[in-house]
Parts: sequence; C-alpha cells; structure tokens
Amino acid sequence: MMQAEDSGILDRIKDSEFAGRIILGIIGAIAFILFWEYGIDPIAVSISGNHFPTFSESLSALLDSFTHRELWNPNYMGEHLGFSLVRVLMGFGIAAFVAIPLALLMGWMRNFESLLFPINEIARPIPPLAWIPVAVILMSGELKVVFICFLGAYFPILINTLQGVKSIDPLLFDAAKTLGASRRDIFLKVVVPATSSHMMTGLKVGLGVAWMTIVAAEMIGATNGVGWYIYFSAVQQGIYVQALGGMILIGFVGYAIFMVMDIIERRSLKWMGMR
Amino acid sequence: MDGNALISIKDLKVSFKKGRKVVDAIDNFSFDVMDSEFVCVLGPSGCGKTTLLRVLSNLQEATSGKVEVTRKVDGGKPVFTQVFQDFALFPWRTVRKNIEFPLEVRGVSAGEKERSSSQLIDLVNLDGFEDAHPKELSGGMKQRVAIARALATEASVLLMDEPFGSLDAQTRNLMQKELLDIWQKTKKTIIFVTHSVDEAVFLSDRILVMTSRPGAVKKVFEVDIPRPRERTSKEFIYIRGAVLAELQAEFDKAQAVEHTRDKERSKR
Amino acid sequence: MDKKIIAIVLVIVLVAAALAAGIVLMSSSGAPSAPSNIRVGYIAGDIHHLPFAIANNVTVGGTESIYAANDLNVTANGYANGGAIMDTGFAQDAIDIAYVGSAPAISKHLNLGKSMLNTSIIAQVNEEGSLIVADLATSNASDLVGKKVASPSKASIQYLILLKWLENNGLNITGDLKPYNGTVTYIGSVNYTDAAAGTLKTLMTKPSTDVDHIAAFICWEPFGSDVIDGGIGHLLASSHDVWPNHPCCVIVVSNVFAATHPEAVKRFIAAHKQAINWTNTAKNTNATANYMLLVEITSSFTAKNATVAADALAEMKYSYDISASTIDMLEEFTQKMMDFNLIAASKLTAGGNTYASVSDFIANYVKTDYI
Repeated sequence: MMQAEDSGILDRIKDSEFAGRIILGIIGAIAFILFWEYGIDPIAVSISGNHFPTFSESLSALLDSFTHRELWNPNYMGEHLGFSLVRVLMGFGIAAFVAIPLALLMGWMRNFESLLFPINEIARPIPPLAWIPVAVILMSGELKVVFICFLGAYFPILINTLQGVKSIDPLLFDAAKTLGASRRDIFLKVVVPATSSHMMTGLKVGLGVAWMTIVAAEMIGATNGVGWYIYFSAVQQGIYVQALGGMILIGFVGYAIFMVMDIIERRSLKWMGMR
Repeated sequence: MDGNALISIKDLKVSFKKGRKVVDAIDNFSFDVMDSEFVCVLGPSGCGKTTLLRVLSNLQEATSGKVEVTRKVDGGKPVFTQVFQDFALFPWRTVRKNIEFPLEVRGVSAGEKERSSSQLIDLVNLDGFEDAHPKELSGGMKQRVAIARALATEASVLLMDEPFGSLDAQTRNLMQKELLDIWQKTKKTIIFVTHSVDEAVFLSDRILVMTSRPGAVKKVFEVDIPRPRERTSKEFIYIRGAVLAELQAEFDKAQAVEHTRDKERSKR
Repeated sequence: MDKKIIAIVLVIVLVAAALAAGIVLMSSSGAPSAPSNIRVGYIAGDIHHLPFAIANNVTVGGTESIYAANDLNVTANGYANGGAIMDTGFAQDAIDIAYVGSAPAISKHLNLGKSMLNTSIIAQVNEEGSLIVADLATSNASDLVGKKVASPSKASIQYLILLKWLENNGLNITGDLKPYNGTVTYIGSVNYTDAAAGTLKTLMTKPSTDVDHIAAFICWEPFGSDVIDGGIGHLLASSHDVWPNHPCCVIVVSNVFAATHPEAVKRFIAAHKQAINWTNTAKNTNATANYMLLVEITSSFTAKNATVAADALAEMKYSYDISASTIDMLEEFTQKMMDFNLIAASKLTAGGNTYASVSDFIANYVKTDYI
C-alpha cells in the first residue's frame, strides 16, 4: 500500500530549515520581551507620567494569582480560567450546533439561503460587543456572557461551512446521482462529508474568536473569570500589573486552543484521506 | 426496431439556451443499442456526445424524442450508470467505501455489502488496496475504482465518457484490455464515448460516428473482428481508415461552418 | 467515512453544549437550593463595603467566619459600582442581598420601577467616607472652571455629593440640560466624565495638557487617600463637609428573597452587626492585634498598601442603625436627585411604583424591622 511517510516532529527538527524557523521565532520573542522589560516604562513615564509594569512584574503577578488572591478577588486564577473556558466552550458549542446545520441547509437549498441572506449579511459586520444591550435586556445570568461568545463563534463557523458546501466539485453530485442517490442521500453522504475540511476551519477560527470575546463578555455581568479579573484589576482597582498578567494568560491560552484545534483539524482530515 | 434491442432512441432532440439564442446540441438522433453490446461513440468536438450520455443517465432533460428501454429492470436498480473522465471518486471514502456507495444507497445489508465489494475489488484487480484513499492511487487505479463502483449499482448499461482520456498511453492500453475482460465477465451493455479512433476500433462491436452540432447519427460501422484484436492486423487498419475518413469529413464540415461564422462576424 | 466526520464534529460540539445546559440551568434558575445559601453583592475594592470582607474573613471565637458562624453559606459577587449591582445584579436575579450606595439603591428602583427592581433597604453600612481630591495645580473650586472632573458613576451617591459641592461653589456641569437650582448664581461650569475608581489615579497623573487628564474627582475611599498619599493630588473637601453625617452605603435585599428566606435575612443582618461592631472596636484601638488584622484585611480588600489603608480607615464611619435622621437624609437625597434631574418626579408612579410622594416612597422602601 502506498502511503506518504509521516514526518514526526523530531524528523522535522532535524531538517535544518525548520530548525532555522524555530530559532528565528525564539529571537523574535526574546526581542519583544526585552523591549517590554526595559523599553516601555520610560516611554510611558515621559508621555503620561504613569509607570507601565514590566514583563517580569506582569508574569510574576500572573503566576502569583494562581496561589494568592486579595480579598476583593473571590477566586484563584485557576478557577477564573475554568469559569472563562466553560463559558467560551458553551458559546462555541451552541454556535456550532446552530451554525453548521444552518449553513449546510443554506448551501443545499437556494431558497433557504435567499430567505436568510439579508438578515445574515446585516448581522455579520456587527461586532459581538455591540450586541451587549440585546444580551443585557433579554438574558440573565451566565447566558448573557455565553451569548457574546456565541456571537463570536457563530459567523466564522457559518461562513466557512457555507463556503465548503459551495465549493464542492459539481462532478461529485453528478456521480452520486448516477449511482442511484436520492436528494437526501446526496445531502447526507456527499454534502456533509465534503464540507468537513471547511467545517473544521470554521470551528477552529470560531473557537479562537469566541475566546477573544471573553474579556468584554465578562464585563457585562460576570463576577468571576479571566476577563472579569483583567477588567477589575485594571479599571476597578487600578492594579495594572495584574491586568497585564491576565493578558499574558489570555494570549497563551488562546494559542494553546488554536494549536489543539489545528491538530484535531489535521488529524481528522488525514483520517478521512483528504490531506 | 430489432427484437434484440435493449435501448431504443427515437428522434432525440436536446436544446439549451445560450444567452438569448437557443442552441440544438442534438437533433434527429435515432439509434438502437443491443443487449450486452459494446458501442463506441465518436464525433467532432461539440457534437453532443457528452450531452447524449447525460440525457441517458438522467442528468439532463431531453427537449423532445423518446428513449425506450425494452427490458424491465429489477426494482431499485437503475438502468443507466456513468463513469466519468475525471473519476469523480469521493475523496473521503476508501476504495471499498467508494464501491459500496451504491449499495448503501440501495439499503443493502452489511454482510452483503462486504461480499459484493470484495467481489468487485477482485474483478478490477485492486486486491490489497481496499483501504486506500483515492489520493494514494494512480489514474488507472482510480478509474478501476470508478468502474467497480458503477458496476455495484447493478445497472444494465454502463455509460462511459472518455474514461481513459486522463491516462498515459501504456495505462490506457492496459485499461482497455481490463475493460474488455470485465465486459466479457459481466455481460453489461456499454456505451463508450471517445476521441480516439484507435480505442474505438479496439474495443467496440459497433462504432457510431455523430455529425457535428446539432449531433445526429452520421454513420454506423460494424466491427466484426474477433477479439483479442491486433492493432496491426489488416482488418483493424482498414476499419480504422474508414472511420477516420468519415470523422475527418465531418470535422472539415464543422471547420467550414465555423469559418463562415467568423467571416460574418468580422464583417459586422 | 461519513460517520467519522459526524463523530468528530459532535464530540467537539456536544461536550461544549452539554456543559451549556448544565451551567445555564444552574445560574439562570438562580434560587439557592438550601436556606442558608445566600448570594451577596458588593463593590470590589470599596472600603465602604469593608464589613463584607470582615464578615467573610474574620473569625470570632472559633475557626469559622462571622457569616459561617451565623449559618450562612455566602457566594461572593464583586461589582464595579452600585449601578451595576442594581441593574445587573438584582434586576437579573444574580444576587439576593448587597452592600450598595444609597443613591443607586434609590434611583435605580425608582427609574426602573418596582416591577423590575423589587428591593428594600434594610440596614445601613456607613456614613460619609468619600473625598473630593484635586490635582496640585488646582487650589480651590473656582480654579476648576472649564476643566474636567470625574466620579465613578452618575448613579452613585458620590456623584450626587459632587453636584451639591459644585453647586455650593457656584459651579454646574457643562451640557446639563437644565440648570439645577434657579436660586444659585453660577460663576462657571466644569466638564464631567465617568471614570472607574481604579483609573482615577492614572488619569490625574497624566500631564494637564493630555486630553484625558482629570483635574478633580470624588470617589469612595481608599482611592482619594491613595492619590493624596502618592503625592499626585490634595484634599479639597470630604463628603462630611458637604453633608455631615450623610448616609452612604446601605444593605439592600431582594423582596422575593426576604419573603422566602426570612430567617436567612435575619441572620445576615446579625452577622452584619457583628462585623461592624468588631470593625469599630478594632478601629479605635490602635496597635492592637485586631487593629493590625483590620488594616491587613482592608489593605487586601482594597488592594492598597497599609499606609493608604490606615488613612482611608480613619475617614470611615461604619454604622448599621437607621435612625429618624437617616430617614430624613434619605428623603433629602431623593429630593435632591430629582432637583438635579437624576430622577424624574413622574417615576414615583411609573413602572409598578405607586408612591404618593417622596416621603411615602422612603416610608415604604426603607424597612427597619430587621435592625
């Protein structure tokens, strides 16, 4: 059986081009950290008289927050992280649950797409945060926050999946018909699997965007979570070093989420013989 | 109509709209296909060969005329199925799963499915590749999967639209031999569209040469040579020459029509 | 292969959606499942709400906190300001009881209406305790003409005190639709912006040429002391100067919760009284172990250093009683908010409200049974 050799990570590191790219990445990161550590504070003081926390101060505030907390802060950072992740996953889950079938049907039935077209196109440019009044008036409790995350994930999932349907090779439809498939067969056995790579891309992007909305989402009605922590540290208490620590965490977690989704995407596509 | 005819096409006309004009792709087309025969269809580009196949496999509607199928087919099994030049395999399915597609669609049981697909895989000589995905296969292998898949529909008639057009010369020759082998084993009726006179003469019982657009039956050749056929034999070369000449004449006519059209356009 | 794709998508989606069902149900249903569970709101970092931190952390004769000793299982919910406590906390059934400024407790209830905000005031928390601080370039009130002043929120009692102080000094706010008081001669106006408590120090530090620079602000402690001790600003007036002995923060309870959990509310008030008594005792006995603990808790709760915490504590007057003069002052506040156009008089009879007058409103809204 012919099959391309799977190149594992160790093989790739031995490849000197890949090693070169890793080294460049490390250099870039170090340069940024040095600038943050020594360059930003003097600039801040000269522009606005206020100090700006350094990288090491922010990082140690972040690490500290996992085991220490002030009395105004009801949770340790690990718990905050848990609350935020759950909210993001919920919003993302609901978005996928709604957007994927919707997109598949829109791609499959022209009339359905035309029906939803104006609402979708007008809603799309509205950023999740602008929906805050809708969330605040119509929803209570956790649902408010989850709703904002939902909005972040919804459109990337919808659009990518829809694009997936539209880019199916029309020849596959012809083939399916000549093999005896009914319309229902074609939908379930051709359209759904054929869009899977676009669907995965949509899910990957959608989860990332949902994570990005967490700070603003928690501002409007959560009383814990990473976003709440950042907002309260910075704006309510004026402890900027803690807010920056929170930002570092958000960046890293966002990256980790992206990497996980990327691996899932690649694995599943290989599983299905499409990559 | 010949008592042996499986398919009887009478006065078939297929038109479509091209901008504001109505263009006839096929007109006055009448032809009978015999049970279990191998027919090749040749003709200049644009003569409607592909359209003919699409109408037969119900991918497109005829404007007028009749296609009659004499024998009743078992419920659930189509009369026609098609094999495409670009293979049209489902990339996310393995070889076995691609072949099982028509069986799934018919609701065949799991055990039966596996038995049938194994038989077909064996028939097209793909043993060992059951679990490969299309992207791992060569062109010839992909087309074999496509043929096996089409056979899985248990349709009576195999429509083939230049199925070997994407393959290199050696693979092409090999596939032609394999197809004949499969045909003799399964006794299917095959309508095979091609541009290659050589291929047509090698494969078919009869060769149908179509006119240029709108396509109609220009001439039908009987190929009486016993198989396996030698490309260098006298009979082969004779028929090939005759078909080529017929084809060439039609080709020249098509060119002339184009030429006048161009002239008129440039005059405006 | 179709099954594999569907499986992958479903795994990712259902795990998340399943959590959705669980947690959405848990939080939006809201009601605590056992009598001693109680969801408490407070303003994070506001020294006025220190009694919450005391009750939640100080152990009196045992290992349990004051709340726990009163059989209360407290869920803490920290908010940015009193307005948020009312309209995202109570109005959305996220909390049962809260420490909150009397101004938002009154204005939100009237403006949103009893149908949306069915609450009552049942105890006091503190009097006074806010400072009006100006940057070093500003010597007195008249210097502020044309400059920018701030408070944490237009719904807060601090904003009300600021308006009164400005009025006393012949100033009003640029762009307000109607001058507040026809009898005052105004010498000029100031620009106003809301600014969250934690940003006030940063904004005052910015150079005066910076468009975001704030020349003066009013805020609950310890944010005023923090700026003064940091050498960024100096004291212009304290809220005591504007309205001596004014009630500031109060305990507000959801009427539905009080009706269904009367015992829990009683125990909460008992814990509240204990916390305030402990605080006042510790506050007045310098250098004792309790005083050190008090400063430590204050410092941690407000996220300021011990010096600022101690200075802020000195400004505070904690008290739980609702006396006749408290009632009078609350009526005066309500009337003043109407004068300053923060509440429309028509709201007394709108949105489920059926109050004949301001005093009728206060008589109904403030309940002294628990004290």
